[in-house]
Amino acid sequence: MARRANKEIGDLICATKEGVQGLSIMVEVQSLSKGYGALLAVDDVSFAVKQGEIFGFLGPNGAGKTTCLEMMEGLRKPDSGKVLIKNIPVWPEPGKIKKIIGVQFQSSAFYEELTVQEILQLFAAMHGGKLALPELDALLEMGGLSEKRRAYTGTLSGGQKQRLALMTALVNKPEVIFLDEPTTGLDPQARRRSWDVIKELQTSGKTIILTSHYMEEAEYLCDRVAIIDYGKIVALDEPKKLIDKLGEKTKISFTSSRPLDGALALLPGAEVVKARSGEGQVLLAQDQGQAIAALLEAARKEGVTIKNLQVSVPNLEDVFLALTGKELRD
Amino acid sequence: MAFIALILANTRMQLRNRSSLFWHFAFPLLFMVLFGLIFGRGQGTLNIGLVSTGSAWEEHFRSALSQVEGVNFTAGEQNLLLEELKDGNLHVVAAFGPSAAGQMVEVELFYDPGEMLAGSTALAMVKGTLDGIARVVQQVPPLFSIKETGLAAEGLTFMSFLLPGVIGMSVMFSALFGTAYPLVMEREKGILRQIKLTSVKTAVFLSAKAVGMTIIAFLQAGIIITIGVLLFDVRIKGSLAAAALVVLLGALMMVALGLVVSGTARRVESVDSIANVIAMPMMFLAGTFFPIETAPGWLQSAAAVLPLTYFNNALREVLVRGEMLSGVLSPLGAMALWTLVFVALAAHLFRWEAAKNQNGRPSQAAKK
Ligand SMILES: Nc1ncnc2c1ncn2[C@@H]1O[C@H](COP(=O)(O)OP(=O)(O)OP(=O)(O)O)[C@@H](O)[C@H]1O
Ligand SMILES: [Mg+2]
Repeated sequence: MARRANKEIGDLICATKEGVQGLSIMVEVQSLSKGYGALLAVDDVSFAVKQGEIFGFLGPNGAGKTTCLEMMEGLRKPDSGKVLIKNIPVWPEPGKIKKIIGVQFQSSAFYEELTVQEILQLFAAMHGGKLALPELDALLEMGGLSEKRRAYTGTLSGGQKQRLALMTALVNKPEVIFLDEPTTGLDPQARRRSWDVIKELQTSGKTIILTSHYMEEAEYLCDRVAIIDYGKIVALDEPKKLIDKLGEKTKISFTSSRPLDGALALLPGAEVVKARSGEGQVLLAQDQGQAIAALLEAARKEGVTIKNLQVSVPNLEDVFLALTGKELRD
Repeated sequence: MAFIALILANTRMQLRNRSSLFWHFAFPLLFMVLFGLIFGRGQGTLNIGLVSTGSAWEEHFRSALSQVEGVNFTAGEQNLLLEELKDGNLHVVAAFGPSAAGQMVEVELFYDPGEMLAGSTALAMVKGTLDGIARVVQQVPPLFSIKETGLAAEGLTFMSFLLPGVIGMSVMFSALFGTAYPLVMEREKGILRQIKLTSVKTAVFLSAKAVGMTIIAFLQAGIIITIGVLLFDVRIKGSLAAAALVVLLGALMMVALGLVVSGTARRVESVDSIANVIAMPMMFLAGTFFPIETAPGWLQSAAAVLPLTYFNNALREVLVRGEMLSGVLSPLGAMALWTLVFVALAAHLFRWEAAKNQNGRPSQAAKK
């Protein structure tokens, strides 16, 4: 029942997809699909990204974000569908877009015996260019790595490595930048800093496509987000609008001594988003008064104790929950 | 541009990596010195024990043998001498029995069959000497007039024989492991994928690695030759430029073989076993330390076409036998042929990306 309701919301949100047209389109994805054996990792995905936009992919582990990104970067061959970057088809000749894209992988490794600046210079050279000293300085400054320029990459912390990966994605001055979970594993301060860098890149006219597990990140950074689950885009819009779709509803969350799922399904005016979870159960209610009264009544009848009852305004996290029935991170 | 930058980066990495420095340079050096200490010196001296029995023949024997260079005598009681023999201090112990007119003199010879080289040499020498004494005493005219012309022995001491082999072996191990190991690691860590996204051509990327390994091969050869000449009296007869060309071709051949190994190995751990399976038998069969003339014929024929055999032979001919390049064209041609075969195979096997297993990407697994 919950899933059926989710689908309706999904369809509603997808309808706004056409709103993109008009501005110059930098990246266009048409009916992209990719399977691994029986598993459809990316299932008929279409969207377009405007120049200068920050576009986010949100989805739980295994949703197909990385697979989708790598087909756009020319690293994985799609089973079907098309990717156009600046109107250049990525397949079958991915070599053609190398000069206009920059890529940060979900996890990056470097030559450990080279220093930070040597890595940047090497990558610039492999891209066929040369990093002039002021450019190098600016890049190091931007990544907050100025002090580490002579440090061997083997000695960098995880967060510093992430930032170096972001900087190596920029050495060829790309127009489109792909960032696969650029802030996963960073402390809150480092995450803020990466956000600033990404915003700065946008200001300088770059188009950015990123993936994330963090709702607050998507809300803060992305002009539009696509919520992806089981390889399909279930919603695509501006973060604000996605939340507004749930706006009239109230989020009710609680924990109980015993799961209440049978009784919950029968509550008037409430929709179960998440039941049977250690961290608690979540309802989205049209009429919070009615829903809470019914919930307490049901609990009394079943002899179940309700604890930690909370009523709140939904955020993007709840949109995700409503659409996929899952938390972004498990 | 990318080519130069990659060569620079590769060289830096090799020089900054302690364990690769050890394998490239300290290991062959250690090898030369150890082999030199074991075989280089003392090979000429044969220590012969003579049991003092008071036999008249003892003096004959001693004076006959003392004309041979490098023979040391120790006289004493049989028990003590046999102890010395067991300890490895003596190579042969001879004991003359009592001599009565008209009867043969019994000579008992003790030796250690474990001491293969020196033991049997000493034994043969003692027997030859006894024969010689007999002929003189019985006044038998010599049947053969022997004129000795030691061809191979002309300046080719054991260390001279060994030196080109050590160069061949070192270049093989360094180029094989030094190419395959980092490449598989880079692939497993996802560094190669990242490089795949740049404009650098595969051939340029791999050639830069080959250049780096060739530089290392030259340094190795230089160090080994220097040690050989300074410490072990090895005489370099051929032209160093010709030797450099042989080393260059050998290094390229081994790099290409390393590329084949890196194409075959799916993970870093398998590089060791694959490369060792290739390198170890080749090291022994290619006549690195000793000629394999005593091996069965089929094994010799197989050994004759091994890449390292051609490399060792060409280098030995040029470096210590003073052969011109024109004299080693056939091993050089064979090396070039092997190189082409390896390059073709490697090009077929080369992958930028790690093979995926069912559990997902290794890069992800490594992270979590
Ligand atoms: N090379 C592969 N072989 C087989 N299955 C794969 C391969 N790569 C990905 N998959 C599967 O495809 C699905 C999508 O994977 P993908 O890496 O695209 O997910 P993701 O959204 O990036 O997840 P995460 O948030 O964990 O990074 C997963 O079920 C994954 O196991
Ligand atoms: Mg991913």
